[in-house]
Amino acid sequence: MKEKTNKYLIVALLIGVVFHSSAIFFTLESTYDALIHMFFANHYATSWFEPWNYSWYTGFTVMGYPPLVHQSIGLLSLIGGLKFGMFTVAIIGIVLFITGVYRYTLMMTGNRNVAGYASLVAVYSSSFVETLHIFGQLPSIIGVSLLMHCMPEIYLWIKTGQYKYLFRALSLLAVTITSHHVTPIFGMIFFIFPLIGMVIMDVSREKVNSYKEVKFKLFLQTFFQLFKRIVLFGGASLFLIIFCIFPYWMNSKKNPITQVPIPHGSRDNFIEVTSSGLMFFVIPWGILFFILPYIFYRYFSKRYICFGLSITLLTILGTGGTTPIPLMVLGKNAFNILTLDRFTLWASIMSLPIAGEFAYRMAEGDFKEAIQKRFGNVYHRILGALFAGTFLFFAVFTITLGYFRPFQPQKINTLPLVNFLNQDQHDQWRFLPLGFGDQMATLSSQTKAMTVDGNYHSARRLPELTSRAVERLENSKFRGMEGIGSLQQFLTVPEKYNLKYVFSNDKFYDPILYFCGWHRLSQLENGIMVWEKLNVPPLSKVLPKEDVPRYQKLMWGIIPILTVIIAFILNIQIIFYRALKLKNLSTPDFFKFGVEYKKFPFKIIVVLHVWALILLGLIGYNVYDFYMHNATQISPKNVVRSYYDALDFKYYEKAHSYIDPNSKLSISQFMLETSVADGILNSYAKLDAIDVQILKESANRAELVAKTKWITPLEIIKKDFYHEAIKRNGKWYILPTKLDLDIPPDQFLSNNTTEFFKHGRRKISTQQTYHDDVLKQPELEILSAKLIKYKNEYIIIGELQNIDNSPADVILKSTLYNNNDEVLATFNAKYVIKHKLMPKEITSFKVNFEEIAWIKKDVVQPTTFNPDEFTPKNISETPANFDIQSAGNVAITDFYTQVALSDLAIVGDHLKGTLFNYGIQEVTVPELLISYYDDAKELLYVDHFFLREGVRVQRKQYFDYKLLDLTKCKIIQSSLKNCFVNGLPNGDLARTIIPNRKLEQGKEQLQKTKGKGYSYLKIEMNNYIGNPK
Amino acid sequence: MIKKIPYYILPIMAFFLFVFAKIKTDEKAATFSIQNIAKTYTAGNAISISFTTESKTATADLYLIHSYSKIIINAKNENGKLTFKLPLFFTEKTGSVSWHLLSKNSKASTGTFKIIPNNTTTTKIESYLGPRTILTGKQNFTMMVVVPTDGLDNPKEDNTAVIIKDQFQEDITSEQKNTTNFIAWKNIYSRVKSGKMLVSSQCEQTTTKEIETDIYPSIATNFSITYERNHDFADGNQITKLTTSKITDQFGNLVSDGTLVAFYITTTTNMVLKTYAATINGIAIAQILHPDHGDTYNIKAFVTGMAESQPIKISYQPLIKSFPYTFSKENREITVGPLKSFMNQIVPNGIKVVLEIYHNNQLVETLQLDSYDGLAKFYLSPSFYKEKEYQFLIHTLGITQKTEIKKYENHK
Repeated sequence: MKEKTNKYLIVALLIGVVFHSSAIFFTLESTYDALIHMFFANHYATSWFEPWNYSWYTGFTVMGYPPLVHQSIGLLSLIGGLKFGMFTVAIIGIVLFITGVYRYTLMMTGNRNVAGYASLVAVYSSSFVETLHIFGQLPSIIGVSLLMHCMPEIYLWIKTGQYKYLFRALSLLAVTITSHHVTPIFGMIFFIFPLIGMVIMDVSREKVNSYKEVKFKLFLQTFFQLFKRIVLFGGASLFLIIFCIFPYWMNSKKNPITQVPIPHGSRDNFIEVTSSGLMFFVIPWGILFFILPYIFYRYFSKRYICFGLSITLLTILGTGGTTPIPLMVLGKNAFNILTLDRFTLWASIMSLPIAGEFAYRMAEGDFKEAIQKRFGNVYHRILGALFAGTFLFFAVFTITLGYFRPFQPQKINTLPLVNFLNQDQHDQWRFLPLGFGDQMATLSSQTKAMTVDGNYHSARRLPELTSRAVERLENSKFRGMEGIGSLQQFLTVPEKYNLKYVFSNDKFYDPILYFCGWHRLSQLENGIMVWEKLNVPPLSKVLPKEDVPRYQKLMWGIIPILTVIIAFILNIQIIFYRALKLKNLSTPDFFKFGVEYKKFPFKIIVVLHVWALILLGLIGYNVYDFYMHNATQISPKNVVRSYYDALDFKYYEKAHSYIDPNSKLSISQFMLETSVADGILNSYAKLDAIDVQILKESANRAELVAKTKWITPLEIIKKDFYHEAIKRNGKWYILPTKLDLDIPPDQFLSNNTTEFFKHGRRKISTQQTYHDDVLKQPELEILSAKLIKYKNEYIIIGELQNIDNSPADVILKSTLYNNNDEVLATFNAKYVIKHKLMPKEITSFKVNFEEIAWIKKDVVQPTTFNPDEFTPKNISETPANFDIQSAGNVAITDFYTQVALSDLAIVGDHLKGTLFNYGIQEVTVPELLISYYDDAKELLYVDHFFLREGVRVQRKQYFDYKLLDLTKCKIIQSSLKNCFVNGLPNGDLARTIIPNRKLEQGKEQLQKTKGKGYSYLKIEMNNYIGNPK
Repeated sequence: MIKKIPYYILPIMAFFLFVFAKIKTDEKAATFSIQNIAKTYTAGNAISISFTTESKTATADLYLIHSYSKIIINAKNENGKLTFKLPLFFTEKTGSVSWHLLSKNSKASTGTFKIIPNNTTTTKIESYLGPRTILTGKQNFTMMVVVPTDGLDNPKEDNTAVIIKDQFQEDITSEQKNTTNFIAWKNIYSRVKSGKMLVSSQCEQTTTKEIETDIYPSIATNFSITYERNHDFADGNQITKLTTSKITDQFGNLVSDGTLVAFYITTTTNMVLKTYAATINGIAIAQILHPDHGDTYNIKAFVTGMAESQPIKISYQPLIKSFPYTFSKENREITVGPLKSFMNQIVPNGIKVVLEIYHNNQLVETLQLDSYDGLAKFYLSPSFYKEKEYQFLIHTLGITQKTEIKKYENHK
């Protein structure tokens, strides 16, 4: 009989290719992973045989990820660019997946119609849609598709023992290995072992009359009979796994992943974290969840029993942290490294043949008959329509998820950034993008310039990064405060990483940049703010790299593409025969074992109905619960919570709608009162947690307290807000709270200030430093420097003055030495210094010696990180000496001094005061530097304090600072001997500028007080302007 | 078969013996004599050095040591004459060159010659000036360093005359300096006036462009301050402006714009308040808010470590002598005010009113409100203030009043 082309497969391919390939142009670039693959591809396109990449993480090796997909994109990019390459590979992946499901189903069921249905189901399968359009995991898709192509060949090899099948199977397996390493390893366990079981079952079946007669003894006998083939295949595939990506294994051994586990949604408890449950369980299963009993029923039939066990295990592992089983099965290590969503993906792919079978039986098979006989035609049609409708809904819902809830910041036009980096040798330094999402990979693939960050965290080497459960520095705010802590260290000591430019796409990070001594350079035309740090040396010409032997480079560059070529040669013939029907091929063996779909068991129909009802009930309950929880005005607690949610996202109109309408507070007035007040809490805080408690409640009125916790870039702020809620017409409203009533004295005011400008170069030249244009470094003088011990921590404190005539940007670095002049610790002044000084301005400073946080394994990581805290460096020896290296560079911005301390009182151990802003810029985050002096007016300690609210123009702001107990603060050494300014000894040049310094003047300015361990205070203001006008 | 192996191996070995054999010859060490070497050469001109020898085959290498580099060059024996041509890059650099003729790894002859600057090429000048900013005063100077070179970038011979010129306002000076160790330099002393100084230099017909150095004013000297205000009442709202006199250095130059002046204000209770201002044209104008209570400010300004002002005193009169307050809503609402000002007008909004709550003479809590239309209303929520009785201290505009003990009933 001449074989006909399977029309379902053709339809599936046509629809699949059109549907997915038109959709990927809108989805793929905003997926989580696609841009990373593009970056890797760019690496191969530019240096095929060199595995070392300097762009990320101060250098890393691309041997940490199987290269085939990246290399293919790289090769194709030579024809039409990187995006062309990526889309082409994605389309190839789509075709491979659909045909793979077809072949896999054909092998499983031996029925071409069922296989056709399965391939149709595969097109819209929500797990596939999610993997491609949301996660963008191209290697994973290609890996699993090829594995499915490989399975019939494995079956036939073990069944028939013909070597052509073995070679085909191995050739396809090799391609799988070189495209994704996890797929073949787990594929062995979850797909190939059950497959072998099924072959043994089939061979045993041939010896007897029915599957019922296949007993364990026979099964074992057959197993020994086929043992040689199994071992041959197993051994060969093990060899391939090791050989094909040998450099990968070598690299894993040499650079074991030291990264602390990074939280991943697939490890969450899906019941607690419903968003993770949706992403990693509900969506991948999709409609399959409704026919789960059928899938298990079929897979636990005798022939498929091994698959049944496998899919059960996969299903359980896919539940992540919901049950303790995955953790027990995988062990702590694997559990924390693997993303568990892949198990659900495999389970759903494994279910596809059965789903196809179900669809077939429902559309034209015995299920249809059974239903029609029992419930009539109409019910069958309704059921079919519902089934198809839900199925399509899931696919559409999944594909558009990224549109409704964007996973990425809006698309960034990278061209201005690329131009900025190319101009004026800006690429001689590293840069750091902030708030870019995965688009940082796009930027990296377009520029030679390097960043300290990166987007493939398994390859990280810097302990500053591997010790943190932070995916990227760029989105550190989403990783709680731990991320900010990591970011802080990079921003405080940028010269260690040659980090000079920060591209900020998120205003959130602005205060931390300012207080670490960075300043705004310019806003690019795509809206991204460039921040710069002075006094950072450029990258050296030769950068360190870890080299690998040449044979590994050759293996890495040649084998993956070679596997494709070999697989192509070995399989092309058969594909041609099959597709073009040139030759009648013998029917493969598995066709013999197809079951006839004659009588759909009624029991299963009942079970399916009950199951569907249970599911619908659960869904209904969840929807109701969701509504009750989110219905904004159903209870006083909800209205307060919603009010803060709205404020957090700056939905002022929404927030205003929760205000009591009888209070006659107009929206414009509300906006004025709420949004005008700038400050760290209003402009830079992210609501981290809110706990609303009812203090007192009656039927129509309630008093509540909202205990809020805000994450700001500088510190965690906990603040309690008291509210009164009122019920009107069945809805709860918040009564408005009173706001600042202060009236500024003047309606109109003028102000004169000195502004500065420096030309980068006066002459257009490409010379690195044109002698004439180099400005003299401003002269600084360190007035005092002390090594103190406070709370078991060694700290350097002191005072510094800009004694030059030009304003200065100050960088202050201190090092501690032991008796043998060995370095114990070194760090820069972070928040406790004014980094920008006007001529003759003085600042106090403090240098804490920070350890790279949690670098020691045994140190318990705090569960919530406070950015204001840090891990002090454990200095075992008593420091005998210290030095201070300070450098001044001409600064031109960020000197706002027009804030007066207009009232002050010391009440007990509280310092209460009022700041008054008499200038014309709104101070967003005022910082106080509070210096403590002993009775001889010698500096004892320096502390800092951030005001939570800003100071608006001509307005007051109150502060309340708790004074410290310094009875145990000890000055160990006080010396200016080893202090240096711009590389020269401190004071040498200063004495030519100020021959006779009037030391008593500084002492005259101190505030006398009676404190614990101190007698005098000094207060300095450091004002951050968030939006300079 | 095995026996035949030697027959194969022997010819092969013989072949190799012949291939790698070297002719051993007895040759006497040849002697070389100088044919032409000048003592000096001019940079840029071709230099060739030749030797003669009696041998027609003997060769030798010439090893040259120059401050620029060390090289070995070789030459062919042409009828007993060896001519070494020095490469161009080598002949373009001045300095002394020592040469060694090496024949068969031994020194056959040695000597030195000199390459001198080429004065026929155009003269060029390299000049450096620094520091680029100096302060006024007699002892400060900037240094001009000039290196005249020939067209090939070789420093000219010592004692080349260079003219260094500088201009400051009407004053243009010009001075001739001779190079020593290739450089000519001059310390150009600062002036007593601040401004821009231009410096240039000349050597032969070549002149440089102007290079500038800025003369900045030296440190500030003592100055005086004055104040200006709308009225002398302590209303907590108006602003007093503090202005410095023109701050100058010891030579009368206005200090650089942006010089920070810190104003320290000592109140009658010995609290130190402060405000800052940067100078423009030598004058810094800072502002402070009027206190909200009668006070006398003692103000002194500093350019810390360098200069200070004489202290001044500013007195503020209290706005009120006393204020009314009322209790309402079962004593749970306390209304302070209306607060009336000096013309009996309502005080500006935003006057701080502090309420201290005492229970059994123990401070329970301090509440603070800003006045609105002369009133401040405190509400004591029954859920927080559960005690039976409270007493209050009210502070505003520097006045403190104590209420009687108020009874509180149940909590609703």
